[in-house]
Amino acid sequence: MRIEIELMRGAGPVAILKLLERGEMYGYEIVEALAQRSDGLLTMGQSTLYPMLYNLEAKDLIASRWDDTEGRPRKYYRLTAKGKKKLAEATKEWRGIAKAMSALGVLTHGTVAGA
Amino acid sequence: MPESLPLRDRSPILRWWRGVPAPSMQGLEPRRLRAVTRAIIEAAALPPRLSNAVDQVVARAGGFPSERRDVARELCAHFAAGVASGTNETQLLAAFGDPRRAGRLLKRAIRRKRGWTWHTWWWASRAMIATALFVSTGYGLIAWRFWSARPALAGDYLNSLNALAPIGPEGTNAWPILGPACDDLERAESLFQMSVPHDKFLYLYGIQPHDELWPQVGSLLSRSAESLDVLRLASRLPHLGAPWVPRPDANDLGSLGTALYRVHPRHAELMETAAKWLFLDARFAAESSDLDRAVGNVEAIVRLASLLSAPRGNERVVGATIAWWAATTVIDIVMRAGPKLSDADLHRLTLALETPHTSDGAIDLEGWRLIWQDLADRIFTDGTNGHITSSAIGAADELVTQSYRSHSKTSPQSWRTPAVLAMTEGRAEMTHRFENALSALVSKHRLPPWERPSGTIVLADDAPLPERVNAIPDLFVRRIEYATFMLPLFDLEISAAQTALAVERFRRVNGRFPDALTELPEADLVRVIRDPFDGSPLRYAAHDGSASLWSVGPDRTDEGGDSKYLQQGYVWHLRDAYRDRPDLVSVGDLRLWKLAAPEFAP
Repeated sequence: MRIEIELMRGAGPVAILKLLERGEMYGYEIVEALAQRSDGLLTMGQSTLYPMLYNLEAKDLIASRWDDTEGRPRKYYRLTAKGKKKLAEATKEWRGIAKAMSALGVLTHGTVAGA
Repeated sequence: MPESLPLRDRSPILRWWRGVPAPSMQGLEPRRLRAVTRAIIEAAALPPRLSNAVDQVVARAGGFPSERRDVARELCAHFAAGVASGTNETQLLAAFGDPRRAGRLLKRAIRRKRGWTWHTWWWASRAMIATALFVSTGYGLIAWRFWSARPALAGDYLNSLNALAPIGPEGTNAWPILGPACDDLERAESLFQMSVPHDKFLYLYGIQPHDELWPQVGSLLSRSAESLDVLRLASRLPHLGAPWVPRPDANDLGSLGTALYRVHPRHAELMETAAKWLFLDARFAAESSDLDRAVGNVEAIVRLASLLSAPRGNERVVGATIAWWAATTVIDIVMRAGPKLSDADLHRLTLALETPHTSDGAIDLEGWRLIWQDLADRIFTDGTNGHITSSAIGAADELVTQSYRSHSKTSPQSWRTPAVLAMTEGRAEMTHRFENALSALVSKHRLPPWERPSGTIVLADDAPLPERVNAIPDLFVRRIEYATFMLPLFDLEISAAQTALAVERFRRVNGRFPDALTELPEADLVRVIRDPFDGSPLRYAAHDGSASLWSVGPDRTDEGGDSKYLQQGYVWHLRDAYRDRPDLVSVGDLRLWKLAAPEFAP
């Protein structure tokens, strides 16, 4: 299934923020989590992921730290307060969109229940 | 490992661009920056293809060394985690996507992360570069336009100037036959002068019977008889019909510049040539007792002067110059053959000099002012909107170049920029200076010649503008000043000729020359003007069968008619002397004529 690039631009950052809500994660972990939890739908090229992380960090929505304790260096990303607020706003917006789509018959009740 | 989600680009151009193989940036990085990331990549011990991908991304992402290190470490960690999870090299590379695209996106993202100081510097430097490019391009274009363009006159100025010249119906204009005849005579004179050995240089119009070249000049006149006949014939036509400026080519800047420099038109110059030739021919005719031809030449010269009496200041001056040649010819004839002249010829000469146009109103300073304004308006500004145009700059360039070339100043090329400067800054200043100088000339001219202050009018130089700004008004003012200096002399010459005729008439009636001019009849006496140099009556002496008339000359000292500088005693020497060296003309008296009674006549 192919997703329009504009749609992915809007959904990708929100998906990343949502993943980081549960705790800090490193890049490869985010890639895998996205693939698993969206049934592969939101799998993005990793060449896109890292620039997206840098952009979110530039906007102070996420923060990063290096961790060398496990023998190999990993850069962990976590949600900031600003990121949490942004995620709440984005979640509300997406729910509104899903509701509107559902009213239009684009989405069925079951598909939005988990949102 | 799931496949990457294929992001669709709608733009075919973008799709094409992304398909274009880009040169690797790896080899283009400075060695020092490469070393920053090389150590990190090698330490990660990734498979070669993965190391190479990281290297490519870092090279394209660029950034400061710390940023490069950060990217390299993160990507190495990413691939190391993938390898550790059991994903093979090929799958990892496929999932990662295009390293070139990743590098490009990372480059933008890295910049976004930088602080406001960097962003300020970035935009300020770009703005400065853009401004510098814009300004240099603008200057480049202006410079290119300035140095490569050859401005042309936008309007047909020559046509406008020539429209000022009155032209009569076909067949009534003298110039169509007079012009070629004058050209022929000028050419003949040039050829003759070239044939004369250098050590026998001859002032053609000063030749005397005892001169060695007298026979050759006689032959020259015989060869030119046809042209001289044309002059006499053309002088009888009612209109001159000459263009103000000859036009070998439309919008010919050279002709315009020459016309301005000479102030008076070319045809006026040629008309003076005609008058001089008629004078010379009259001298030879008088010497050979062909008095009818000699007197006829005087009448022809006067008619030529009439043709030039147009209502323009400059032509009137030239007309007066030609009338002066008529007076000079009369004096020459009376001095050579006075006693042989019949009463009828004497009457014809008297009538010729009575023609009122000869000197009347020759000074027309208002006419000069109009000429200046007219030319300045036509040449220095665009007549339609009053703004300086490139064509005007071109015209000014040419004029200033010409005028300074004629003054043996610096090279014409170096006047290109000054010409533009003179145009943009100096037009008003030029007019201002010209007006001031003209006012000074008017004030000076209102005084009798002997009360006029000596020295020349100096153009005001109070503004910090270079000398070149004076170029064009200076040309005008010098010409006008020259005319104001010479016109009293023209009047003097005409008065002297009339007095010579009166004295000869007195001799025929009384059998002797008058002892003093006061003996002349009242009607003749009023024609004797005062000496323009001191305001006293002209000096006259009669003794031993001869009579002389002289002026004290520019030095205002009576030396008994002794003329040290003016060897021949003719006014034209004074004129030529003034033209060449105004500071040297104050030597000796100005002998106007010396008549001899029949028994003493040569």
